[in-house]
Amino acid sequence: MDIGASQRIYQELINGGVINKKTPADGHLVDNPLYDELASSDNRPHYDLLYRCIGYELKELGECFFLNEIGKNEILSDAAMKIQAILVILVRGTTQIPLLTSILTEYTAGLGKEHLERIGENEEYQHIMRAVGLRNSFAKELENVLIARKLAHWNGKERLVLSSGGIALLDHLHLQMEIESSEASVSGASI
Amino acid sequence: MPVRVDITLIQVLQNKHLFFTLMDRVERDQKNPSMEFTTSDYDKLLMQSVAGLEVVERLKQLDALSLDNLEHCGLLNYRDPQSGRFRLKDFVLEMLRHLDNSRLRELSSAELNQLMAQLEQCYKQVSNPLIPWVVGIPQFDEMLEQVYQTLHGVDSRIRSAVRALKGQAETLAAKVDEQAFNDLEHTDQVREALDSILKIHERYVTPTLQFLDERLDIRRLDTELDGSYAPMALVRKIVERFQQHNQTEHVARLNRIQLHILGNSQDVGEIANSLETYIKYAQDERRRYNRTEELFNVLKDAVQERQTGQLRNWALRADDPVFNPVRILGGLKSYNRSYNAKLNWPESRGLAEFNELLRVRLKNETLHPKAGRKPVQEPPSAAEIAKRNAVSRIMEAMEGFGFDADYQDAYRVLHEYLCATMPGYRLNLLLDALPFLGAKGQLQTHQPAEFSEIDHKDMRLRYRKRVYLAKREEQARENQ
Repeated sequence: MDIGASQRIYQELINGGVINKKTPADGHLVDNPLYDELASSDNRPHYDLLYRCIGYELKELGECFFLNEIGKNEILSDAAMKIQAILVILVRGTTQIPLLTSILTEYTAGLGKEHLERIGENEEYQHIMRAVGLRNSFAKELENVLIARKLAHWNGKERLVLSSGGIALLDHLHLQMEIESSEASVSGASI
Repeated sequence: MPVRVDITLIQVLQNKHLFFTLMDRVERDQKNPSMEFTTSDYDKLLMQSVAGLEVVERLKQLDALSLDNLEHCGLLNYRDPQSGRFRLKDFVLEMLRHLDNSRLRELSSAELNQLMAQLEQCYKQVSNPLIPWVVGIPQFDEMLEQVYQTLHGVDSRIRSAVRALKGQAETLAAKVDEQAFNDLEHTDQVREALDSILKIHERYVTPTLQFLDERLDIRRLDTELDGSYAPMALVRKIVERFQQHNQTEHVARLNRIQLHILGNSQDVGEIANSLETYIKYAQDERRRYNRTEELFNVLKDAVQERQTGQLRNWALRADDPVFNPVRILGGLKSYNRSYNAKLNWPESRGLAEFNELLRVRLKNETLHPKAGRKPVQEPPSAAEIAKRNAVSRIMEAMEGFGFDADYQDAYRVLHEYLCATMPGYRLNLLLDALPFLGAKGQLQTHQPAEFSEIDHKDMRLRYRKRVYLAKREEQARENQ
């Protein structure tokens, strides 16, 4: 285990951030040494134990790691609620511009600031943001909620793209929705 | 002045772009598969095309390409001066299409079914017991001609369709690559290209592969193709008829044609493989779009539901079912810089440093007690007292409410009850009384959504109807 990397990992995770597999550097995506440190099969059990000892569970989703407090699985934090809301607004806003969602997942593409402003001007989205306690502008909340947690970042062209963690979370939301829809249709059929 | 047919055809080929422009206009602008051109469009394009030429050359081209001359050479299907429209003969259109792969036409299921019908007709002929299998007899010669014509026709149409598919697939793939991985802003073009790729795969590539699959007959799979036999199985049966009559020379020739036709399946398979990445891309994009819409709609509905009728507590809470999808994040911390480590622990002599830090901090704490201590609590205001009293009065009034029954319009029932039982009742107190219902039973929004209004004294409440379900029913349902 690398002590320096371990301390940086702790700083990121304890603040509610995610550790992504890839990280931007000089306008390119490069391997994230912190992810490699955590994902290494030698280190992983030690990190699992380390965080379990201080009351956290080290979770892996797609190509990212994050922390959950042990024993609070049933409680969803406001932070998680805000992440879902703003992520859904961001992707929905993108499709309504209309742009392909790949603009958010391809590192070389990305959503320009003018597009983000356009999404932020939508009253319907503002309404939803207020309902989940996001009171600043859309751009500001993107910074606070997604970028600060490394669920999204700016690429070399100063455009917003989702990080590997952001993409994994979006895919997870879609998968959950798919499961809910299929469960609903199955129970509908059984009735 | 009339120009010879061969020279006219050369001129047509040399001016292919003129005809391509006409074809594009008809296909894209007018969405018209008839390939019928307007005389005015043609004349205008022809004049533009010869504008920069020397006089002699210009006149030569105008003579050759004039509609009069095209008609004279038999290159027009028809020319209708009344509607100002004309149509080139099929062979001229096909010839032009062969100059550009992307303009070749794919074979749709309907066209493949036509080829299938021709094969069936051909099989019927070779199975006809009345035709003697003797060379030189007109019926046999006609049948032979029909068989070769049909099989060559099938081969030729499929070969041309394969070229068309290849051309289309390459053009569309290049369009997606160019846009998708550099700059996605021209999304409409990319989306159109992706839709076309999905369409080509579904409407042309798959049916063509099915047409060319001779095992289909054995597997008996459902396809878009008509007929009781697989097309290539039918070709095999036709050849077998010749084998049965010992026509070895024809059998060898027909086998060659059969192999040529089957050879196309490899090309179609390669096209299908080349499109696979783009199909996955298009399907992923479509799935992401649909799921995002679903997520957004439930979120929007949840927000709207809380803001209709109930004037307080309109904010969504994290335990709302709408946030179930993000449950994996669980109790993810709120981003707060105060979690950052404030102490830089020294490498050695840590205890002395820590003691020093404690000494300074503790001293500060004693010297500067924290300002802003809470003052002595002020007595509650008159408004607060009135509110508390109102709640007590509601509580008292609600003791006699029929909590055991279900109500379709809970707001109205409660309002009427309070009107009758609570002295000094006003409409604004209705909202304070609602939580009593929630505690004893379940309040659900009316399905389908219905809105209603209550007018009382000088106040009006507009609300979305809610159904009250008594708790006992809910429990009984759970037990079941």
